[in-house]
Amino acid sequence: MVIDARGKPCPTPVIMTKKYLDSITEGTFTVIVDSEVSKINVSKFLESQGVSFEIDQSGSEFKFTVAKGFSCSLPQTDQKSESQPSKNIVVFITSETIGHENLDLGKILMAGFLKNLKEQSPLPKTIIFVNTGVFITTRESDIVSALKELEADGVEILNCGTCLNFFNIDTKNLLVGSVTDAYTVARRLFDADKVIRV
Amino acid sequence: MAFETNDDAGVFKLDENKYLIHTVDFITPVCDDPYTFGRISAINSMSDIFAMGGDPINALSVLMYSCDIDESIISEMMQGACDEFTKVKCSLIGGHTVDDAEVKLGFAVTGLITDGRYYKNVGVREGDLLIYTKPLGIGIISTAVKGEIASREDEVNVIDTMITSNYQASKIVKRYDVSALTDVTGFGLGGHAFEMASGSNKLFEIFVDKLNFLPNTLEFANMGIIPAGAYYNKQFLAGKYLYLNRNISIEIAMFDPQTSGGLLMAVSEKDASKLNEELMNAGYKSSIIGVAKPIKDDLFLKFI
Repeated sequence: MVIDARGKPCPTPVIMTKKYLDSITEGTFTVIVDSEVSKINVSKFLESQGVSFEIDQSGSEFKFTVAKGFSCSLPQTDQKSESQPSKNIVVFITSETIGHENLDLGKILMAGFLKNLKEQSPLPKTIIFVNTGVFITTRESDIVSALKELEADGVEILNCGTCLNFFNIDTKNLLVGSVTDAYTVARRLFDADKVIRV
Repeated sequence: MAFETNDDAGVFKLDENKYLIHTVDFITPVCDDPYTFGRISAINSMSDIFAMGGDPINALSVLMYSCDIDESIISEMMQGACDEFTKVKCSLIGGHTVDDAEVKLGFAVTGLITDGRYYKNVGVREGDLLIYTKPLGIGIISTAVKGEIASREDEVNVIDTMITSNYQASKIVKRYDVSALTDVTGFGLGGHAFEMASGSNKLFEIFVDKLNFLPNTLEFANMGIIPAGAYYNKQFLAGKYLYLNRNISIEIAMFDPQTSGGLLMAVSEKDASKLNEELMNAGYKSSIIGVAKPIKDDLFLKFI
């Protein structure tokens, strides 16, 4: 089945995809769109429905290959999960800086490190901020945007509640991630395959 | 008046206290019922007059339709518009019609100011609070209605919001210390807030958690039921604003185009809660949504 939504204005491509998806219990099908906006909207829709899909771009056209149901998973997705079993990596940030000899340099290094996490594969499963590390997640900066992107990609971001309390930072000022307790921090560290302490 | 800032309408000075205001707007159908569409189109076209603080006095219609359409539909549309104009003592005195495949209806409206005071969309002072008078999500819910995946309730909610006239709000505003006023339409809250902030050389901090949304706005946005205009609005301001709220999936709703949106205003801190309360008592789903601060690093707009 090919759903050709080329030249169709928003939200028609999403509606066409929805109608077909709702009509089948399982199976694979193709959706073709020819605008960036339709590509984003159809992707959002498929994500919200929890079905697996892939996008091939050729020129200004985007071809979605969609699989609904248990028996039809996309072969490419399979390969990825076989060749790279996802490791449980936890990044444990215990300070606002990397190194303590020069604090200004330390902050620059920390920003560089955190902003480059999203380029790593596999991504860490969890990032924990403790001690002065919580300054990073409560002050507006481009690091926060980078952390939000990681969070959107499924990385859990935890902030130490005791530390926020200690520094008199209201949890309302937390810009990314959630507040956590000592038990959860210990649990994440024990469950990890690898802990990167910074 | 000159074009340095992006005001809502043209202003023509008659004497010290009197100004004429001119504006034109037209829209494609946003609902199935022609009478209701006529009402919404009239309210939407008068909105720019209200945003300048004026009273609409007369209007000319701008109508496009295909000749094979049933004439009763056209007369119902015009009746809906007429009823709204009558409510605010505005006379429909003529118009122009063009043959076109899709129906479009709008009005060129003339407004009058007699107290020498018109509102611009700039001039915000440091410390002013921002009030917005309607729930957001009109574009997203209308898109879902057009796609026939919205419930009847969603449809009623969005129509109620669009036929809420800004007339009363513009009268209430005059009793308070308001420094700038505009109506939120095609550029979405983000676009119109940016115009007001940059024109006033201030940083607007918008409190995302204080914004009102139509029910299910976020659900539809997550499903990709988002009008293309929202992406163009967001793209237009890319790199010129910061979005720091934790709820990142609602960012696109900041740029959702609003047909017949509400009034956005900047008001002195001491008047803000009283003004907001009076707007709410008048039936508006209004809230204090932000604050104007001194600019920092050339940044005019920040969602927190």
